[in-house]
Amino acid sequence: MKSSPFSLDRLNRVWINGVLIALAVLFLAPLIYIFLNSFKAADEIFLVPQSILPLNWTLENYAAALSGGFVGYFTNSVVITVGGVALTVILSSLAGYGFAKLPFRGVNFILLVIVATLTVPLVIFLVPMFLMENAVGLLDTNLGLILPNVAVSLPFAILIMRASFGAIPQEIEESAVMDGAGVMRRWWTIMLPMARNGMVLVVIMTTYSIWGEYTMAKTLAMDPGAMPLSVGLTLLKGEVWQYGVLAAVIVLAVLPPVVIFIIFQRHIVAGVAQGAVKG
Amino acid sequence: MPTGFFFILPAFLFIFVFMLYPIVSSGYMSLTEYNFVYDEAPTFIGIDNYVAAFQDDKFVTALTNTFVFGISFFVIVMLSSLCIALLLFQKLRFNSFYRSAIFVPIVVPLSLAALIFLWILQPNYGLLSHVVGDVLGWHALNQPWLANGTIAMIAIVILASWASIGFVTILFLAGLQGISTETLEAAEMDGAAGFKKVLHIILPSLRETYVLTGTWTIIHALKVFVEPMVMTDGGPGTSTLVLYQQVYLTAFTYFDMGYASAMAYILGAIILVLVVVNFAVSRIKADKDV
Amino acid sequence: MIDKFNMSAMVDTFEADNPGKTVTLVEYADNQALSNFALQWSQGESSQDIVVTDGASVGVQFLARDLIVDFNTTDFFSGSTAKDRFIGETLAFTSLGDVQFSIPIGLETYNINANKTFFAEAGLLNADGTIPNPTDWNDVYDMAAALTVREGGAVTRPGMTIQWGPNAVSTMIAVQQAVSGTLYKSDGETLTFDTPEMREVFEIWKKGADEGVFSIDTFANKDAGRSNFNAGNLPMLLQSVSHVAEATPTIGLENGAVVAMPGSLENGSYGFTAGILVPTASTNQALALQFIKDAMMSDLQVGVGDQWGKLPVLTEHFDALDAPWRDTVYDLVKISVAAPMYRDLARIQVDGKQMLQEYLTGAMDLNTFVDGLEAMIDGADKNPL
Repeated sequence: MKSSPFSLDRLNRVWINGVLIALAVLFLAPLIYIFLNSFKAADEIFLVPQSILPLNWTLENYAAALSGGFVGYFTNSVVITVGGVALTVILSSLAGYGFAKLPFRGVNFILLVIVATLTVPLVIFLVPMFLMENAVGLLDTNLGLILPNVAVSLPFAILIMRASFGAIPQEIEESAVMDGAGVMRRWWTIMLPMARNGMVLVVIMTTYSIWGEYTMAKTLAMDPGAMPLSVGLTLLKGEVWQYGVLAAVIVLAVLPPVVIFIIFQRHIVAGVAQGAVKG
Repeated sequence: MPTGFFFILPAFLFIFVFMLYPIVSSGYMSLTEYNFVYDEAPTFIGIDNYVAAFQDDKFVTALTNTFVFGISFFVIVMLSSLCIALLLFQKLRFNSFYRSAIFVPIVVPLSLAALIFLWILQPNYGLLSHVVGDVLGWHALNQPWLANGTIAMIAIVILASWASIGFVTILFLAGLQGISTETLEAAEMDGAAGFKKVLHIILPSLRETYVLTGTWTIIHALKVFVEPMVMTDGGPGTSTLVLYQQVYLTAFTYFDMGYASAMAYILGAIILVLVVVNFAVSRIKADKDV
Repeated sequence: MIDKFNMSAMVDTFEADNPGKTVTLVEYADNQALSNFALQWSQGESSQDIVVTDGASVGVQFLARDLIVDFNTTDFFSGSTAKDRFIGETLAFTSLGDVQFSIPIGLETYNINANKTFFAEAGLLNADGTIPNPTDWNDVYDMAAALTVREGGAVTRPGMTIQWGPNAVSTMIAVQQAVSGTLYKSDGETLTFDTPEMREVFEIWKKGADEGVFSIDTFANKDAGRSNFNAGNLPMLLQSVSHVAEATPTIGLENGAVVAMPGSLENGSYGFTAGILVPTASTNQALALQFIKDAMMSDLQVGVGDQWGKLPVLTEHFDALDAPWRDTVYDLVKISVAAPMYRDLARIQVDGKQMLQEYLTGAMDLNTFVDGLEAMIDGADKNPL
């Protein structure tokens, strides 16, 4: 990482750390609360006044949460998310480069059309999407969720990639042209590595939106065998959420992406920083 | 065909195939009367649905609520994310802990996050009641929080901000990292420091980032749906009923696809205009600064 | 629902009796799924042979385009499932004119679930240990007020929760039927809440809500009352009385009681059931009917009634129930009435809920509220199809 843009005196440092600690607590509190409650038995959850730490730690909520097809939902979520993210990254890297570095007449209009698809509430598309997938046999398949998720993720991903290709100085591209590199080679060997920060952002954004996507999944995957976690877990609700089970469900659904996030945290930060290294 | 076109083509085809049929089909439906459970086929009625929307109290209430939410959300998310990004852009010992803490809500699926907040806000056994009553001793303040329209709206804004600030902060951080060292050093030599430097050098250099964060935040602000759906069901009364929710209700509870599509298109048009304005404003600034 | 109706056991029994046949149970998340099913049915195909809906009346809409089977045109009503074997008016809950669009399963009625522990603490029990039946809504209010606990000026335990969430209109229908003996205007088909009795109830509700005697936590969380009652933290709950059975494991069999709300012993209340549909696009209709008859209408319903309070629809099974609240509930259930089958019932439910909440939070006064309700019902499409 490069040096910080500010020169800080000690007082500022204390002040900034204080604010950030307060923020970190605020952001984490709801999750810690849920995490602790997931180890409480049903009667303890309704205890007033409550004890923040469980009085009797129990794993019964996890047993209940794991009993109902969790592994299948989890696998579907992983397949859909990985497939969707990979496709989105590839397609948006191509398109972002086109928009930023190879402009042509009408390019802004195409961009506007693409962005416009983002603005209309998705629920309106559900019926046509359902009929379309029903016609080609994509209902209740992982592919049937990957494809619309990619279509929905692409517009904003393209905006991100367009911005990060746009930030690369024109001279770099020009010198590569002088070396006789073709456009595909320039994209792949020179531009793409330099737009790594954009790709990291696209990965983060798409992972997050596909992992948690609920509206389309609920419509297009009606068979539990094809459901991702976001929808499958709601079936555990029964008629009313048992709060302890709900807490366990949330922990199980959130834990994998959190662990991945924390493991790759350094890389994510470094990746975002990469774009700043100038040629 | 220009080379750029071929780079855009695959993505465009994807969006075209998957979104075009739904868009055209629902665009046509917005001009029809069509109850998809009762009617065999849509009946064309022109722009009647659009006219009806603006005479419909529910639509107007929902639109107003959407804007109340949207403006609060936009201001809070944009300002906090920018400030947090500026703070995180320091060399601090616990930087990676702070980042993790602030980014983690991103990975919580929104429908589950809403359930978490619903639980925290339950009277008696919820966390908020516990803190206000048992910890702070202000028992008289305790109430069924979400049964109060103003508190319910504030709660929804807080939940949505909690879930969104992390991602927008990442976008701002990426923008900050993109400011060249030379720019910053040059500013330093001119004697600019601290707050002044932020104001005159850093903020204007984030123009491309404003396009991204602004677009993202506008779209999420006005397409708010899951939060009120799960936490309040639009209530109490209609005090947190938002437009997207009214569209969903009309489409899947009343099966009135024609009217639902028309309302959706009005919302889409409003969002598009705001996105274009945001784009233009950031661009005008760009021209001025260069 | 799969759990509550013990459907896995139904499947096991059926598969054992019919070698070579398999039944696959699939749970759907919410009623939006039904519209997806209907879309598929209207394309002439169906992934389901039987669909169980929560609230039988949601099935009626699928008659409009003949998407579901009329059981009266089948040989279903014979032998063990002949029509006279069903309790009271149960079959009327799922029929329209002479069309039986769905088979009821799991009978429920709205009334007051009560937890005797709190009544004993407050000294409200009769000498014989039963809870006195309130004679009018002022009585209900007084009981609830006596059961309300306050701490430092704030209510820490309300005396009663009334379902004022998404099902608020069901509650209003239940109370209207109980206090006035009819849901309809003199034309016999227009739903009305503008009766002197109901206006008085609305006023008492407002007073109770203002004072915290009747909790308003159902506004945001429709399960708030149910969760609290099941956890043994709530004295009275006006909602489906199935929760007495559901709460038994925590509050104890001897403490759960059904208290008839004012007028309900004479006039009944709101009754409803889940419903079983067979799509016309199903290619296994004969087998589907056999499954409904042999497995779903079997004595497995007794256990479901005991455990979840979703009562058997056949008299024979109802009599086999063994719970202290059985007879009270039976008296209430057999005279309960269904909600009107209006095409716009869903709109009335949503709009009615919103208006009631606005009235209870003080955003509109009683006259505006009742007039608004009546105008809204007048404007609604009241044809069944």
